[in-house]
Amino acid sequence: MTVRTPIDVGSRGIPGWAIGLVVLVFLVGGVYLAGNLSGENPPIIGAPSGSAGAPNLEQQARQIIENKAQPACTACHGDDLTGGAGPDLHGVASGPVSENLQELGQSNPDDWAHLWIDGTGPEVEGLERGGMPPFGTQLTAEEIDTIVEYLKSLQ
Amino acid sequence: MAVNPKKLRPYDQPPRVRRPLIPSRPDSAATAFLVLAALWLMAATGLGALWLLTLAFPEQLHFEMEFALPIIGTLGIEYSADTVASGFSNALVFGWLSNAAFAAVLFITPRLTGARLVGETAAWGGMAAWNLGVASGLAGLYIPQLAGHGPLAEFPLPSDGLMLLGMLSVNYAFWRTVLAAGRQLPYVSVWFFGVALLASMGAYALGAAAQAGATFINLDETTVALIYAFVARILATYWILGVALGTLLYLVPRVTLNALASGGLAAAAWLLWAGFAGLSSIGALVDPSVPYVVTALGNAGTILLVAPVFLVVAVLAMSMHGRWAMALIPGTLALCLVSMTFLLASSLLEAIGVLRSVQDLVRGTEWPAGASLFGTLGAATFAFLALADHAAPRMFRRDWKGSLLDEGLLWATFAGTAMAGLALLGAGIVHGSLMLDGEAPAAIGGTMMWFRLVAAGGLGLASLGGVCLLLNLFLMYTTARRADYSAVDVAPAAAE
Repeated sequence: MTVRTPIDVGSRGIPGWAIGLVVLVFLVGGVYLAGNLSGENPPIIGAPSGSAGAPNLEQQARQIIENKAQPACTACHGDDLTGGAGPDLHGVASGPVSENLQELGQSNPDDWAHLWIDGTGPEVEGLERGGMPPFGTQLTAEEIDTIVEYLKSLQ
Repeated sequence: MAVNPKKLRPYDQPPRVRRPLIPSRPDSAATAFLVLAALWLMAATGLGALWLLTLAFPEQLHFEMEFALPIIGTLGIEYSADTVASGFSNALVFGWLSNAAFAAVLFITPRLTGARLVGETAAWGGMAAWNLGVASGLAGLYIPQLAGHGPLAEFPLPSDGLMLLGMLSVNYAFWRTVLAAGRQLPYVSVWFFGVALLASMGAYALGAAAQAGATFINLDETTVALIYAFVARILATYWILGVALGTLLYLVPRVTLNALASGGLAAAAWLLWAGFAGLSSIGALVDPSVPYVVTALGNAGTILLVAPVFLVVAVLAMSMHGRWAMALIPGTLALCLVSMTFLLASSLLEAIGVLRSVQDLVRGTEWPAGASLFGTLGAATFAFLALADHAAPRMFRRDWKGSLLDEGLLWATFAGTAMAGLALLGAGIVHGSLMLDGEAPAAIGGTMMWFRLVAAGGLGLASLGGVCLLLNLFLMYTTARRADYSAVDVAPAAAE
């Protein structure tokens, strides 16, 4: 059985406004591409899914590092924390790298990084800070813990 | 020999009518796909509401258990926000939307090519394989040992294989029908279906191959995740969007009895869609191992995808001239109009979502789910609901004038989708802003709870729409009187 029910089709041409619209969209796409030629993608593994209900460790830490801490940690340690005016922060999990922190690392192996970032406790009194502000005056203990956890995850 | 039952003697039996196990009457496979799609719609939206409730009360609605099986060993079951979210998106895309898309292809193609569907039995087989694959895959999501990771491609390998078989069967039926008809230039909807079917089958084969690679040759985890993301995007842009556009291009002229306003515009839209949908899929390759400019090119494709969507909506709106009043009554045209509105909104939202500043703000928030909901539960769902409204009486061969349930279907699904989509979009913006301010996770969770509850309510309403659709189909089949539509359909459009 044939069940043919054809549909009539009007003009075969393309109206001028449609060509204009397509050109406009092309322009927008081109401008977008021109403005996004360089950059770096975030990793796909471990990327937040949006269903976890809360930001992951990296997101939380980056918010604090880039936006809450004043000056931002990235201003001295670099956008990817590999160093700038301040030292490279990768490898913090295996202990302090800087000479002036070796003693602190030995006396407080578990929380030396927290104490150093906080900078207000008696344990770090007298240590040369090299221009690093005591962030304990502007960040909470939980926020500093978040930064430390994140730094320890950097290889 | 004809038998008169009145003259039968007591020991005589009336001749038995032999019914084949698989029906082969026209539209039978399309009917089966549509009925199953309606069931999946209800299940998917129900799962969606459950997902958002789980997000709002994550600790109360989370459990894991383990039990020992004789041969398999210890098997765990996990119920969490992540597993229910996967269940929702998979049931929505593979259950409801894909079954409805198959129904659309199998219903519309014979009517446009003028040839009866070749391979009705193959399509039936495809229906069985596809739905078995989806159901077993969904069950597998809750078993961590079996579930994979990735958007829309988390099913275990056997389920993927079954679904691929289903896709292959429908492709076979479609292409055999188109080639058998021998028409040089069929109507534009067939072009959309052809590209959508081929692209989605290729993508699904790629996803299954990645799954096999991960299982048997320890394929790199990042590569597998990238392939999954790419496949998911192809399914959204080619399969769901393509079939929805093809369906609308069929329905609007058919229902309004107008000619399609501009064949050239529709053909241009098809050409742009076929190119940009592929380009847009590259935008899903987000990883440091992929050059940023490649991802940006893909994102530019998502922006460019606005053009074909706008062209299709424009040509459909032009084709509705003189018939706009029909859209005021709940029915096929009203559903088409809602679908067109969601199409515009979702394509714009997707384009906005690829802007770098927006991505930075909403990454890891509810925004992507909201934008995708506008596309899947909004644009595509309403296109397929319109198809159901138009096609079901023809499939069941019933004289159906509609019922109050049509109003329920339209308003519950519309209000539910709009509510859930807007709540998730709003939640995404607020969530992103709170993270920017360095707000504590507990405080963010508390604020988000209200958005999630509203969205859950919206999906619950949409689920009610699914119930209305099922009830409508049931009432149509059981209460309406029989009618033959083939002659009715030919008459109004015989002007070709």
